[in-house]
Amino acid sequence: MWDIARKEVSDSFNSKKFLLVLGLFTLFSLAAVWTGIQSYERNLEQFRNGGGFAPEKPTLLDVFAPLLSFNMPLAAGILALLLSYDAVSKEREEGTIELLLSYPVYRDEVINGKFIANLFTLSLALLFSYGVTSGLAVYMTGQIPSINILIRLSFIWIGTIIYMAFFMALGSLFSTLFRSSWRSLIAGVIILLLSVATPFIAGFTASQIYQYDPDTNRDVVVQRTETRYGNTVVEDSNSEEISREEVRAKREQFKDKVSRLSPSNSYVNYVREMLGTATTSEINPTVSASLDNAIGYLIFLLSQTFLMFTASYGVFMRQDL
Amino acid sequence: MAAIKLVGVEKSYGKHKVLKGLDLKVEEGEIYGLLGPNGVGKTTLFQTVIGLLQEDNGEVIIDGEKHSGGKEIRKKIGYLPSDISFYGEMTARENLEYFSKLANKDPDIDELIELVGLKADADRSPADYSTGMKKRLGIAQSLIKDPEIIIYDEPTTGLDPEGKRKFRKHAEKINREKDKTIIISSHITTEIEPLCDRFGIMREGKIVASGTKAELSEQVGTDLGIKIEAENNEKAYKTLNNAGFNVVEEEGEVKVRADEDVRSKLFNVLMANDIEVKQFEIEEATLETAFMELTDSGDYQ
Repeated sequence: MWDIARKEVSDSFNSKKFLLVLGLFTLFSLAAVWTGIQSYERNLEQFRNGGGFAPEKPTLLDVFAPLLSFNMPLAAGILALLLSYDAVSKEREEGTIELLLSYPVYRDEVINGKFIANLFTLSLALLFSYGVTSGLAVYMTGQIPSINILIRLSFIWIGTIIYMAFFMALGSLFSTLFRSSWRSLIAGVIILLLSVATPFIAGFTASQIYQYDPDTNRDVVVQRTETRYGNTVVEDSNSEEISREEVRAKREQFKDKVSRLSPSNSYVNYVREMLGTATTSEINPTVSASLDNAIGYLIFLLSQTFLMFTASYGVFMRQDL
Repeated sequence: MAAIKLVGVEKSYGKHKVLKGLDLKVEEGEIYGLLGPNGVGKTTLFQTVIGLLQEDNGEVIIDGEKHSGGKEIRKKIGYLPSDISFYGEMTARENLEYFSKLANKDPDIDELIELVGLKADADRSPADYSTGMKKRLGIAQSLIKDPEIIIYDEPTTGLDPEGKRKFRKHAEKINREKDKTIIISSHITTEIEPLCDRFGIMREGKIVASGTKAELSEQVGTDLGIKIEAENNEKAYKTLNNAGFNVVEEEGEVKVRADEDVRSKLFNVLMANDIEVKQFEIEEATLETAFMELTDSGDYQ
């Protein structure tokens, strides 16, 4: 297994395709961090002027927020897919799978070796990208990251690797199911896009299912007042607000349940908790409080990744190649 | 003891049954030729033997032990697939080193490269190799495990006559000097006829005949064939048929088959009936004729 893993790592780092993708990923991250730096500088100025929406002094975490919360779910998923979409199909297409499996290696050693190699490569790639973007952030802001920030970023790095591992396992699964590497990649990208868009799809669906109908949803208290011109009906506006609130709660519940299926959603929520920017978090949570809130999302993400890897493993082990 | 024994092996791909209760026995130390038309299931058979495919029914017995495609069996068998491919990102030497690690062996890579005549090209990528060079590298690869059994699937396909000759020489050498059991498949009988001790003829997912060349010829009764072109072929055919000869008419010629030399008797019959023979030809029994008879196939060269 380790011989296979070593070979795969070497192939990745010598592959022009991978190096190009890594370069693009790093550039993309730099661009997102640059946006974060602009936002940081604006907020810093507002903080110094005592106005605007920055009651607290912005930190380095604010620089990374746009990258990690908004861009990384898609970019990291694509990087992971690009590394794994042809894990098995390429060997089939090039005809090396027959020779490989004629050697005394178990099938699970092949798939495990490839998975470990890809995980290692992705971790290094992410670390490289982290290093470059952190360097830019520190240079532009003049801020030295505190231990608090380093710990948060480290946990986010771990979470990002687990998130990427999900899409790596997905790529491996499709690589085994589909005879063509391109079909495998297209299928993986479709699932990734659906995963990223799940909260929006869920929200839209919820709004269609749970609609506020003034005639049926409200519990009206009618007060009749006699006037010179006849009866006047006064409705209780509080009850209307309560009913709207109930519909809103149902929608949120539905959206929350459906969104849990999405690993991208779990990842984004995890990152926001670790950044301390989640709407459910207290203001300026401690690292331990952030971890307390985030750990549930991380475990969920881990279990989704494990399930996906199990599926990929199971299909590869049973398939006639 | 049989090196390889298959009993009632069946294998299907979906609804398509490829191996239909196949029985096979290859003795230790022999070179066994597996003959069959394209698409008859030779590769499927080999992949089942080495454990790449799991048989649906039947038994695969290697060295007296029933196996289920595990790692241990693949330590004993070297394999050269019909469409051999190597990793293009590595050189030929690196490919052999990689497979050596997978086999947990430490062969002399330079010796293997020298054996197959690739010393000058060992540090090039196999992606740049010709078909013949890839086959030679494949032969080197098949020896990495120092296996007891080597399976060559259509090894001479794509080789020029010199390449084929060298392959036969190599196979004989490793069989003789290292006592390896070798199984070679082909759909071209003449390429492996001089090499093999025994043959198996495969048809419709089964071995329909097995034995030495003489035994196979005897099975189909094709010891001797006489082709005659007469002044009146139709008359010649009827006369010989009435005289009790085993005669067929093929492509405007009359063909007589016999287990013994009947030339004298045959020409006496023709002369007695005033049938003039323009041309005749004696066909010695060959493996090819046995193969053609048993597979009833036009797919041969």
